Order: sequence, then C-alpha cells, then structure tokens
Amino acid sequence: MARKLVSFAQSTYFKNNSLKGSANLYLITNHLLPGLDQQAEIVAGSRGIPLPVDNGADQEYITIQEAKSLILDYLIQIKGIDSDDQKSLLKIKSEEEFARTASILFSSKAQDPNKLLTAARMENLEAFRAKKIASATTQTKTYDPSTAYANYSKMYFEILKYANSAVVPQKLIADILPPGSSRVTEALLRKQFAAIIVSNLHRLNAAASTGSSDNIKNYQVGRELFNIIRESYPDNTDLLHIVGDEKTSQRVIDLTTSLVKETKASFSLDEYERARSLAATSLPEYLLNHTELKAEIKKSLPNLSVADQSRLADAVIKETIASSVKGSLDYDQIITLVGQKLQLDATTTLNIKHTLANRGLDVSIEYLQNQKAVQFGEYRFTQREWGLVRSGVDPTLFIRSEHKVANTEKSLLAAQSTLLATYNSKNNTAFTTLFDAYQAERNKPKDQIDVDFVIKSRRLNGDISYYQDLTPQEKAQIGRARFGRRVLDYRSRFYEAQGKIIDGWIDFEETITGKKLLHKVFDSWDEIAEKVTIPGTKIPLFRIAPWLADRWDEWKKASTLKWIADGSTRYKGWKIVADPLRPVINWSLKYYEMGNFTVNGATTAFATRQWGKFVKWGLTKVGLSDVGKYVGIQAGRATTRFLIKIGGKTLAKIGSKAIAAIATSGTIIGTIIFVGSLVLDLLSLGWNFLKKFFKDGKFRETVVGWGLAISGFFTAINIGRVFTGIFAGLGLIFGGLFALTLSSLLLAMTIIGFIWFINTSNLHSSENDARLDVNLSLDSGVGEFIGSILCDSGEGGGKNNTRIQTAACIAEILSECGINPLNAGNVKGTKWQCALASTLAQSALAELEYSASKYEVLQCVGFVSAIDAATGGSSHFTTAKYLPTIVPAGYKFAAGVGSCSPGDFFVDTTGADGHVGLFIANGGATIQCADANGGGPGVVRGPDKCQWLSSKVAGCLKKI
Amino acid sequence: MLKILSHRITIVLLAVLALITLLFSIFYRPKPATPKLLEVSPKDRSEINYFDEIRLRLDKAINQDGLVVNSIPEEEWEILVKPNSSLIVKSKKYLQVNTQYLLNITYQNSPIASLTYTVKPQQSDPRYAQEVAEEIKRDYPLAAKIPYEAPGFTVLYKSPMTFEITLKEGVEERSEIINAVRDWVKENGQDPDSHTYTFSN
Repeated sequence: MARKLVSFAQSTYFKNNSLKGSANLYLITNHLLPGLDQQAEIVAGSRGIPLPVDNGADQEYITIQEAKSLILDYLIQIKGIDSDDQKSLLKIKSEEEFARTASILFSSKAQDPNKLLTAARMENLEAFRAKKIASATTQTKTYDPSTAYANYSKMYFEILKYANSAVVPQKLIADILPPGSSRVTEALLRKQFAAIIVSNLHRLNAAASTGSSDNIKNYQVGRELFNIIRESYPDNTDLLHIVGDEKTSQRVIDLTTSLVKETKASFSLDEYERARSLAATSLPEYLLNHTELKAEIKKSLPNLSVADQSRLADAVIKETIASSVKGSLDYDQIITLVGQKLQLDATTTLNIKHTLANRGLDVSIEYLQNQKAVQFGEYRFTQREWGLVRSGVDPTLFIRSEHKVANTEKSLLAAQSTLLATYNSKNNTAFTTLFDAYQAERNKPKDQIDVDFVIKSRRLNGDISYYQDLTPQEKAQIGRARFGRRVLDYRSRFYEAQGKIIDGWIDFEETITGKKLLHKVFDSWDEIAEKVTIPGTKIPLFRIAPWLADRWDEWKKASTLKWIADGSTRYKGWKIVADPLRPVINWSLKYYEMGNFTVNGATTAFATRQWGKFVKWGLTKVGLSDVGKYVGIQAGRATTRFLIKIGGKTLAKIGSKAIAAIATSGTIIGTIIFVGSLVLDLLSLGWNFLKKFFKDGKFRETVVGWGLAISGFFTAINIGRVFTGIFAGLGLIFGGLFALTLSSLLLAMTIIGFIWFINTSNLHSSENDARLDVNLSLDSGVGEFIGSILCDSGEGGGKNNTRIQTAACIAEILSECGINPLNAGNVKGTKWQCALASTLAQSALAELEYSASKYEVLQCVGFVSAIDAATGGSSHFTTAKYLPTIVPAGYKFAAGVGSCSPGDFFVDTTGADGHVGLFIANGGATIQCADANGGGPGVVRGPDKCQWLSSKVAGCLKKI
Repeated sequence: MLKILSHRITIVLLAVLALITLLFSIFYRPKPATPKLLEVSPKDRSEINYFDEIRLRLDKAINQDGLVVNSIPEEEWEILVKPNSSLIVKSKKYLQVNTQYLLNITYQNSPIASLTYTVKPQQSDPRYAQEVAEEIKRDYPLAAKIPYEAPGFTVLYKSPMTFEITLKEGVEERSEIINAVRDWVKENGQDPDSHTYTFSN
C-alpha cells in the first residue's frame, strides 16, 4: 500500500467529523502531537503523520508541516496563546522540540485543571478561597485570576449536580455501574464516576464524534475513558474493569450527550472548555510561585532561627521538584517527604504541616508539585537531567541554552532589561530594577494596572530569583548535564534530517530513468552471487566474506551463551556482578536472540522494532488493526529500502547491520556485542578491501577490470588472486557500474560512520537505566512485529495470522525458558528473566506475569490478554464465562462456532467459569486452538497441542 | 494318692495355662492406638489451589489399608503412604474452584483429621477443562491431526470415533480414499477399525 498523502481538508477524518477547517482537541492530543514527537525516534524515514481512518481503508497521512500548522492554529484560535509563545513555536525547526513545546503549552494552558488539581483537591482550592487570601498577582476590574477559577468551578458544579440528581444520567450511571461492581460503596463510586465524566466532558464528546460508525465511536470513547482514568485518576482504577466494553461505551456516549444537552441551557460546551482553559491558565497567577512561596514559608515560622527557616523553605521547594518523579502527590505526602529529608520527628513535621496549611500555603505547594509532575513528563529528559530533578533542581529553565548556565543568565538578564526599558519608556519612569517597577505597578489604582506587565515581570522575577538562589555546586551540576542535552538535541535533529533525506531520496528515485534496468542488474548479480559456489564446497563464491561473517556470528552465539552459562554456575561473584547488569544484558541479548544470534538479524530486529513502534503506536491510537497491520509491514520493509536503492541488496545487508549496531549501542554491553562486532566486520571486510584497493595498483586494476566491485566490499582480498581471467567477460558488463557502486559504498560508509559516532557519543552521557526505560517501553506497540516476524515459531496452521503466531511464540518461549507451565513461583524466578529477554512484547509478558501471580497459575484469560497486548491491543478481559456479555473494548462477540475465524478468541461458557482460548481451525466436532490452564495448571498449549469440543463453543470474540 | 493326683492336676493345669497363653499370644492382637496428626500442609482452614495435594504427618507409621478419606462435596481421593509416617491425599480430578471442602480422614474407623479448605477462584473452570480433555482423548483420539487436508479430500471429526470425509470436486475414488484415511489413522498409532468413515458429499 502506498503512502496516501492528503491535505487535511481532503482526509476521511475531516469529512467524517464535520470539522470546520481546523483540528479538534482529540486529534491534536492523540495523534498530531505524539506523531510529531515520534519524528526524533524513527531511525529511517517518516511517512508523515498518520490520521485515524475507518477499518480497512487506506492509511492517510498529512505532512509534518500541515500537522504543525493545525496545532498552531488551534493554540492561537481556541486557546489564545500569547504572541511570545506563538513566536517561540514558529521559530522551532525540530519536530520533536515543537511537539514538546506545544505539549507544554497544552498542559499549562489547555488541559483540564483537574489533571493538576484533581476533583478532591478542588475542594482544597475552595477552602483556600474561603480563607479570602489575596491572589498572588494583582486583581483589576478586568482581570482577576480567582474569578476565572470561580467561573469554571460554577459550571463544573452545576453539571455535576445535574449528573448526580437528574433521572436520565442517574439511570445511565446505574446501568454502567450495577450493584456489586466494585469494592468501593456503590453510591461513592457512582459519584466519583460522575465527577470524572463531568470533568472530562469535552474530551469524551470529542471522542464520541470521531469515526463514521457506531462501533468506532464506541471504541474511541471506551478507549478515551480508559486512558483518562488510568492517567489522571489513580484512585479509581477499579473503574478500569468496568469501562471499555461496547455497551458501557454506548451508555457513556448517551451520558455525555445528556450532560452536553444540559449545559446548553446556560452555557455551551465550548464555553465550558474555554472556562476550564482560563481557570488552568490563571492558576499559576492566582497561586504562589517558588520565590513567593519561599518567602512565605520563612515568614510562617517566626520561632525558628533564620538559618532553619531558610533550610525548611529550601527543603519544601526542592521537594516540590524532586518528588515530581513520583507523579502527582498531595500536600500531606509532600510535607512528610520534607520531614524525612530533614530528619524531623513526627510531631515537628505535623506542626509544620498545620502551620503552613493555616497560612493557605498548602494549595500552592501541592499545585507546584503537581504542575512539575505533569510538565516534566512532557520533556525527553536525559539521565543527568532526571538526576537534577531528583536532587531538587528544575532543569527546564536551562534546556534552551543546553545547560550553559552563563547563557541562561545572560538571556534572563537581557529579557529583564528589555522588559524594564519598555516599561520605563512607556510609563516615563526610571526604575533600575524590574522588581521595583513590578511593585510600583501593583500599587497603582486597580483600573490603571498593566496586567500583562505584572504577569510577565512576575514570571521573569521568579525565574531570575530561582536562578540566583542556586548554589555554585548546583550550577556546576547543571553544567554537567550539557553534553547529554546537546547530543540528545543533535541526535533528534539528525534523525529528523535523516528521515527527510531518505523520504526525498525515495521520491526522487521513483523518477529516475532506467531504474528498472538498474534494479534488474542488482538483482541478477545477487542471484548469481548466491548460486555460484567454490567447486566441491558449499561456500558461495562471491559471498566468502559474509559466509565467514556468519561463521563468526555462530561462534559468537556459542561463546556468548557459554560465557553466560559458565558465569552463572562457576563464579560465586557472578550474581553480584551480573544482577545489576541483568536488565542491560537481557536487553541487548534480546535483540541478539531476536536476530537468531546474528548481528545482521539483531539489526533488522531493532530497525523493525523502531519502525514498529511508530506505526503500531499510531495503530493503537486509531484502534484499527487491519490498516495498521498492513502499514506496519510496509514500514518495516522500508527500513532497508533506502539502502537497497543506493547499493543493491548486498549493501543493504551490511547497512542494516550498521543500523542495528547504532541503535543498540546505547548500553555498554550493547556496544561490546554489537558495535564491537561491527568494528571487526568492517575492519576485516571493508578496510582491507579499501586499503588494498587504493594501495595495490594491480589489485585495483583487477577489480575494476572484472567489475567485481559490487561484491568486492565483501569478497575483499581473495578475488584478485584466485579467479583471474574467469570473469573477464563479465567485467565488461559490471565494470561500468563500478564507479556508481563504489561511490554508493563510500556514501553508505559515511552515513554509517556518522550515525555511529553520534550514538556512541551519546553513550557517555546517558546511563543505562534511562535508555532501558525508553527502549523497553516501546514494546506495547510492536508486539505484532515481534509475534509475526521475529519469532521462529508460529507455523501452527496460521502462517499469515499474527495472533496465531503470537500464541505459538508464547508457548515456545515459555517452554524454552523452562517455565511452561507458568505459575506464581516461576514468574519471580531467574527463568522469568529468560522470558523477559525474549522476543515477546513486554506488555504481553506483563499480562502473563500478572495473571500467574494473581491466580497462582497462568489463566486462560491472562493468555488471551497477552496475545491481545502483543498484537497492539490493551483490552480488559473478564472471567471467561462472562466474555459474551462483558465484551472487551475493540471486540465484538459472534455467537456459534460457525462464526469463528482463525485468530478469534473462542469462548466456552460451560462449567463454573467457562474457558477462553485462541481459535485456530475447525475440525468438525473438535477445533484446533491455543490456550492456557486448559491442559493442566498454568500450561500453555500451542497450536499443535490444544483441541476443544466444537459443541461447547458459545461463539468467538472478533477484533473489530 | 492325693499327693500324686494333686501333682498331676497341677501339671495339667499348668499345661492348659501354657496352652491358653500360647493361643492368646498367637491370636490376640491388641487394638492399636489411633495415630495422631502432627502436621498438615496446607494448613487447615486455608485457601488451596484446585490442583494442590494435602500432606499429613502422623506420630506413627500406618498401613494404607484402613485409611479412608471422605469429603463434602464428594470427590474420589487418592492416598499415598510415604515413609516417615507421612501421607499424601489428592483428588483424582481437579477440585471445584471457589468451593469449600470438608475432609474427614479416618484410620480403621477412628478419625485422624477433619480439615476444611477453600479452593481459590480462577478465571475459568479447570475441572471442566479436564473433563473436556478426557472426552477428546477418549472420543476423538486424532483431534490433534484434524482437519486432515489431503490433495483430494479433507477429513474432519463428525462425532465420537467417526470421521467425515469431504471430497474435492472431481474426486470420486471413495474406496481408495477410505483406505488412504485408514492408512493415515494407522500411521498415527490408532487401530483403523476403531473409527467409522463417512462422506459428506
């Protein structure tokens, strides 16, 4: 399927959703921003930003530039970002940086305040308001930050009251949450559910307007609500088991529609959304910033010595930053952490807690911490930057100057003097400091205050004070994060640039005259090279070097495994040394194993994984598996397309090896295994050839004369001496291609060397666990690739069915690791590490681990959940017997065994709890299947081991 | 005379006594004391898995004979006497999940233990799955090889021990095909006569 590049106004999404020229919030937050963010991670070229399309339809893309324009338009028109932010967005060239900056603007300006102050904490804010404490910034007749919040609050509580009392919403909520659906009391749960729906009305309404069919709408809403609860309501995860199926989604849509209709009586949904945005925007102006908070904390405890006051104030501020790595915390948790850091006893901590809360500082402290937790999540921090956060230093102020502290200072002071000069000239004053001007402005009569100046100068003063309060040690610490940031920025830009070049090349190549002949020549050569062997041996004549390389890989396979096996049994100290490194070793070996213990395979695996991540990520968001599957495979192949185009298949092979080595070089062990071997490969294969080619005139003459340069890179030294004269005729044909091929090789080597340099440089600045986090988290989206392409198994009757192949892989991997059957004991043991290092998606492994741990042995439900996760899903599966009625999101239930197709989940409702497994083939009175816990406790039965009675099959769950 | 008689009587009496003692020692077996339960795993009144076995340790060695295990709900229990006065009690079938079992273990009609266990819930019914597996093994022994696709025909199970052969278009040689299927059954370790062969078309 070719890339279908469309303009947004021509897209199916645009037509289906009756948009008026601009994107909606749903599209931006779920597709465009993440799509742009991915640009920095794609090893090869980008296909543009994918849009959601109907099931079975061609995937549509819009250009990166159009995606950026749509986001910018939305921010300007709907969210009213100020001119400075507009300018800064327009200046940004890197897609990743644009997405990051826009995301921050969204989180600070456009997102639901409930994300920063959850429903429970809104009550805190109400209490704060009741204390009549003045707003941190000034109020004027036209601008009062507290009013913005009050307006939103009024609307919110009005809708909430309706949801909690009117007949229609109450009935729908009762249908969604029937009695006994949760551990929490029913009434409380229903109220919490209503609050979630009301707070996120706009998002749900947008999701309900996505797609052309009810099925897709239900699916989008189910998924959206699932994400909302998972991301923002950690206390309500009980609800995750309830939301998601088709019926519930339909009722959520009805509930949303009912509430939206109700709002129309006094305000529109857009007004409600705007009020929410305004409330969110005004919160930082309403509450205290770091600097002000510090001063207030010092004042709150007059009985302490000055030194202790400063110590406490510093500790609180630092904790708001440091604790952000734990996610959003409440005030009590933050002060408890402060008490622990300062080694205070419980009574003193409690006293401090009460004293600060009585002065109304609790809400500001909590808000600052919550805001950091959200904001930091938007950045792609390096390991050192996270280190800064953990030690209580906010690195965001310094990122733009790539942690050159002096530059940050310079730009802050420059901004300060510009703002002061503008103010002085406008007001005909002669203030020497910005703070004085700010104070003077605030003291003016309310109707004369320049709100814009007050807000800007307050922010700038806050930043400057923050900077000035840093100790020299902290500044030095910030400086040390510079290298990592520069490399990361550079790498991001490089990947993006590389993507553009590759895309450009492919488009250009399509237009080359005579390309067919060129391809034919390359292919013919490959064919000849594969067939001709050295007489009496199986060694391919023109593939001696790759043949040797394969032997070398085999040796590595044997020696690596032997090394690990020896170490684990022989050396007592191994455990101490290996345990901390285990995740790193596993991570690297995973690719090595994925590639059948060859560097070549590992590279393809990694490259595919990178592509898979991007494509499958989009697929997960869109929820349309068939489209994604096809696009995914296309994209996976595209990784090597570029190399094939510039140098034929021969070059593609070594090229992909290089790409993988690059990609996996982020860890020390990865470097040793992959890059190390690449060096050897290049040295032995390439360098000798080039050296000889340039130094040895006779050799050069021979190579050129014979036209063997196409494979010369590999066949290296041997060619000249052994086969003189045999291919003289062929030389005439291939000789003409020599110049082209050699230059392609050199170009490829330059690219390889360049990418390699960047990645190995980055090694010094990023520590292992950070990269592991990044890479391991890729897995949820790439299961399809892992399952279908890289696993050796999967031939069990479903050669083209990824779900069957995945099931076969699970059985194979668990068996090979010695943990089939899988139970609570062995998911904690060392053999589980073997599974973790396997090709199976981490999300699928997590499902298996969860099921086996929770129920002592792996459940049939856990097994199908793992298959679902590995193939890009994230649906919740309930007890087998109830699956026909509580249908997982993204599935539909079709009754009768006759409706089952290979890859569906069959359901048997007989017995106490029924059974579920993967349907593979119909055998008449029996079916072929794959399942868990059906052939013994925790036993996974692959395609050749599992049969079930057709007469007992109630029907099948089919992926929508 | 009396003296002589008295002497003889004494001898006879002693002989009778000796005989009685001998007979008593031969035939009398004192009733053994009831063995006491020292330890049980999993503990009484705990949750167990549907496949768990129960291990008991007694204060003295006992014979398998005379050991009886009853339960509510009823199950067929296997008892294995191990050295060190240990016993293993296991249900022949998987236990019913989410069910409370009361076990009474007696030895020569004397109670040894009365135990209560609750079987942990699962997300499926393993006992039922076990029954399905047994039924398939018994009635559809070649289910793992089905559907059997040959160039001219396909074989499915129609009912227990009965194959249904579907011929592809243009294929008519029914008797040869039955022979081919019978050979295939034999190749897979089954007696060809154990199955019935029917055609769907």
